[in-house]
Amino acid sequence: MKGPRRGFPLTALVLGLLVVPGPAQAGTFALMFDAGLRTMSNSPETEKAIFDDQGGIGFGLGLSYDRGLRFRFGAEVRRINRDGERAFALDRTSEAFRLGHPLNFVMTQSLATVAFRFGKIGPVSPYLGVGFGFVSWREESNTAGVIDQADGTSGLLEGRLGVERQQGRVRLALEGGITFVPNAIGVGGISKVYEETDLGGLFVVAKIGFSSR
Amino acid sequence: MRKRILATLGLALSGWGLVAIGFGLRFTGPAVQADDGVRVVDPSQLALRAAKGPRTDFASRVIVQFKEGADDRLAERCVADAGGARAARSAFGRRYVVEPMAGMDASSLTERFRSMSEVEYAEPDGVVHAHFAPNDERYNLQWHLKVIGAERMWDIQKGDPSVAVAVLDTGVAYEDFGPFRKAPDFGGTVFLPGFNVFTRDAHANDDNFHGTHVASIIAEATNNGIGASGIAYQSAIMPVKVLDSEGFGSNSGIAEGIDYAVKFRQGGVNPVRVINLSLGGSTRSQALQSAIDRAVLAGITVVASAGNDNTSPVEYPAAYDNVIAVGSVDGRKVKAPYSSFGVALDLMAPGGDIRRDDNGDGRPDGVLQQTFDPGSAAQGRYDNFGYYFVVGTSEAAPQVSALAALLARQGIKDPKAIQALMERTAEDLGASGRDDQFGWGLIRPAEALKGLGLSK
Repeated sequence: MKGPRRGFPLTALVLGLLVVPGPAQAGTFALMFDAGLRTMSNSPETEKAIFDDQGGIGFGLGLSYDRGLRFRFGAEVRRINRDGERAFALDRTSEAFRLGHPLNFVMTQSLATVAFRFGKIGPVSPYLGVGFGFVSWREESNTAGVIDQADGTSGLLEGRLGVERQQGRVRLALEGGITFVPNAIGVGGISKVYEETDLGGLFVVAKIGFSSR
Repeated sequence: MRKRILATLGLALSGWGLVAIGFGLRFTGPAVQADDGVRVVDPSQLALRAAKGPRTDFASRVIVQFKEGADDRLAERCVADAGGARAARSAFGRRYVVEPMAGMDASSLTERFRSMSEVEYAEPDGVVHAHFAPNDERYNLQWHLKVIGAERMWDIQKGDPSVAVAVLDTGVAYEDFGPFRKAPDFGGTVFLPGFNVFTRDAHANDDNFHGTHVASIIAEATNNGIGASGIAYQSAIMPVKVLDSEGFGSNSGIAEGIDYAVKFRQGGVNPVRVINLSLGGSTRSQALQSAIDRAVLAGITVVASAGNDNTSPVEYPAAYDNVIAVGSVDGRKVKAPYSSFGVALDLMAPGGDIRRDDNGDGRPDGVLQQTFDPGSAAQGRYDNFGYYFVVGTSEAAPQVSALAALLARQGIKDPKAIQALMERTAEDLGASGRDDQFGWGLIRPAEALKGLGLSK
C-alpha cells in the first residue's frame, strides 16, 4: 500500500509560512527535537502480545511558528521503531503466546499542529494543542528466513498538553497526550483476534529546540 | 502403471502367502519390491482380525468411581454387596474396574452401583480398538510429509525432548526387554519412562506393531541417514500400553493411561504436552471423559483418530469435546474412503489410501514408517523390523499430535489455543469453512508455527 508522502505537512507549513505576509513584528520560528515514550495503549492487548511491554521510544523533529503570544502552528514528523515477536491468542479474552519469530514495526507519523499557549505560570508556560495528519506503518517479521511484510497508511488525530520554558534561544518542553489512529489495524493478525483497530495511544515526550528569537 | 503395481502386489502376496496369526486372523505378507525392506499390510485383513473382537471381555466389566471419603475397605464392601466378583483399583484414584459374579451382567451390576450413596458414578466399561492401517519406508516414499509441507515446517521447528507426546497404543518398540527389541530407527529418539496398564509396570513394549508405527510417525529418528522421518523427531515419546496384542483395550485402561501421563513428573515438571489416541470405540465413558478433561486442564492437548468406518459420528474418544478429532485424506487431499466424519470432526491429515498411488512412486499410498512385522509378532517375535505403509486415521492423528508438540515447543501452552491455531491455519477442504467431512481442513504445520503478526 502506498501512502501519501510523509514530509508533506512539514513542507506545506514551511512553504506556507514563507508566503504568508508578515505582520509588522514577525513571529517566532523554532526547530524542535523530541524523544519519548509512545504507546499503543488504544490497542493494549495487541501491544502486549507482540511487544510484551508498553510503549516504545520515538524520535521526532518539528518546526513551529508562534503567531502572537497565544497561538503556535507547527509541523512534526516522528518515527517509532519497535521490536517484538509473532504471537497467537485463542480469542479476545485469552492470554497471548509469543512464538519467538522476530517482528519489527515502524511507524512514521506526520502531522500539522496548532496549540494555544497560556500565560506564564512561574518559570513555565503551559500549552494545549491538537494535531492531525497521517501515519505510515510497516510491519516485517522473519520466520526461519521467510519474511512477511505488511504496511499501510491511516489518518491521525492527536491531543496534547505540555509545559515549556525558554532560556535565551533554547526552548525546553515536556509534553504528554494521546494519539488516535483509528481503523489502521484489526483486519488480520493478532489485532484481529483482540478486535483492536487503533495504532495510537498515550505518549510522553521531552523536547528541546532553538527559536529564532 | 496401475497394472504393474497390482501385478507386483500379486506376486508379493503369492510369495509370502497369507500368514495365519493369533486367532485365525490373517495379514497379507509384505514386500512390494524385493529386498528393499518396504512392506504393506492389507487393511481388509486387519479388518477381518478386528472383527473377531477382543480376547478379554472388556464390555462385561463396570467402571465405578467412588466419592471422596470412601476408603478401600468401604469400596470393597460395596463391590461385594453389588455383586462384583473381582475389582481392580486405579493407581490414580478411587476408580475401580469391577467384574460381575457369574450370572450377572454389566448393566445390572451398574444399576446396583448407581443405587449406592458412596458411588459418584458407575458405567459399563467400553471396548476401544486401534484404528489399524498397514506400513513401509524412506523419506522419498513418505508422500504424507510433502502433503503437509514438512520441510518448511522443519525449518521452523523440529521439537525438543522437553516436550513429550504420550502414545497410548499397543506399546512402542522402544527398549530391549525380554523378547522385545528397540526399533532400529529409534536410535536418536528420546523416550520417557513408559507404563503398561495391563501389567502395571514400566515396560510398555509393543506386541502388535501399531503403536510403534504411530510413535514413528511422530518421532522416528530423522536426518540420520537411515529409515524414514518423523514429524516432531526431536520431541520425546512416552510409550503407554493401553491396547493388547490384538489392538484391543478398554475405556478404563485408556483412562488409566491418561492419568499416568497427566501425573508423570520428571524433575518436578511434566514434559507430556500431547496425548495421542489412535484408537476408538462406540461407547461413551464418563471415566474416560473425566480423564481427558483432567489432561486438558493440566495443559495437555489430546488428539484422537476419527475412525476407519466411513460413518458418522466419529468414534470415542475423538467425539469428546476436549479432543481434537482427526480424519484422513489421500494424496489428492480428498477424504479417504474409510475416514469417519461428523460434527465432532476437527482436522484432517494424510492417512492415505492403499488402493491409490497419487504421487506415482509405484507404491501404494500408505503412511510409511518403521515398525515390526505383525505376522511375526503374532508368533512371538518382535524383532522383525521393517518399513511399512499403513493407512488409516490412526496414521493421521499422530501427525496432528506431532504438530501439537511442535506448537507447544514454539511457546503455546494452552491446548485450546493449539487447537484453534491448527484450525485457523488449516487448508479449507470441501465446503467453505468447517464441514462434517473435513472439519476445518488439512493441517498446514508451517503456517501454524508462524503464528500471527500484529496486523497480518
